[in-house]
Amino acid sequence: MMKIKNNKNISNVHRVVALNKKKGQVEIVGLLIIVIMISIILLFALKSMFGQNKNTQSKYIQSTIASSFVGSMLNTNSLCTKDTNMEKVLIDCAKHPTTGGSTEFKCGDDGMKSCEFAGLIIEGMLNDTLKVWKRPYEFKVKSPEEGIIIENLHFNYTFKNEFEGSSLTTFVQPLQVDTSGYRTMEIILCVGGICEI
Amino acid sequence: MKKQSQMKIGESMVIIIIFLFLLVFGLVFYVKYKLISVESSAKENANLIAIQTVQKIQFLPELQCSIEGTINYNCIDIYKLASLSELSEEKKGVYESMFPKTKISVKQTYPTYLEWDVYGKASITGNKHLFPIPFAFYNTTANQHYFGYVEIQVFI
Repeated sequence: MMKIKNNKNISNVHRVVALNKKKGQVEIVGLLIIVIMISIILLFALKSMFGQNKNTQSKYIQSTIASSFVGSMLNTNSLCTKDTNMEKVLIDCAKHPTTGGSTEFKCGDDGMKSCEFAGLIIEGMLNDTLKVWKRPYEFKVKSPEEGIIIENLHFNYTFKNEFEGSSLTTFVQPLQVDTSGYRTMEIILCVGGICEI
Repeated sequence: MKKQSQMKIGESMVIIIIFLFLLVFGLVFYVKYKLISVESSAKENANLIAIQTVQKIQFLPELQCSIEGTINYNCIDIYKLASLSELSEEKKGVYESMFPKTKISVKQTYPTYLEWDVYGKASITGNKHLFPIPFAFYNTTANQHYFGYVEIQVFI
């Protein structure tokens, strides 16, 4: 009789142990589900944070703006003399960087030299376009010998969020200063920020 | 036994509340993410239309300037531009498939300010995306180039 009672007790203990084991397994599965859920949420969050589209189209538009600006500006008649476009004025400035331009060019009502005149006209053009469109920029011209001859034409704008602005685009237009082709000046326009070169 | 059951019910409730909180947080995050992605895809779409429009304008014989037979890109002939902008709405209808959801205006800024409305139906609606691109303008009679820009408005 005593043996039967003992056996009954043992089987009860086994049942409790089995029940506890099952409960533990269920809890582990629950924990696993929570871990999987959190991992999925984290992955999703990371993807949305770092997987932003590079937006090549915006970059293309920005580089089109930079190249179109320089190309159109160089073609534009300077009104300095009847047949001189901005390209000729800038070349004259690059040829005579120390004097600020040759004596051939007397531009505007004040008879300005080519460097001063070019700087003034280009600043006006930039103000009417890139500044109005709230696109940060920096414009400079490098002569073959003297380095930068036109500078301090820049505009900075703080964007409200990262989607509004875009990355820096640098456009460099080389121009031959003389027919030999050895002396080359550079017209540099950075759009989207201040130049890094 | 009763107290243990109450504890169990309390535990279950806390779990449900945490689960609901996670669900709501996830939903809010997902909706916000979706809104941003919809916005950015609309912008991408507008960018694409703007790029296409710029390229079409550059190669459009009705606007393109040529000097002694050589085509000058990034340049608009002022006389062609004036003629095109003066066309009636009906005649401009042929450009509808070429410039969908788009309004095009041209602004000359140097040496003097001038403005032309080239194309665009008044009835176009949607979110406006603005794309201005600098251009040179050629005056054939004076043989002079001026400076300005083409403003492309895309409605998505």
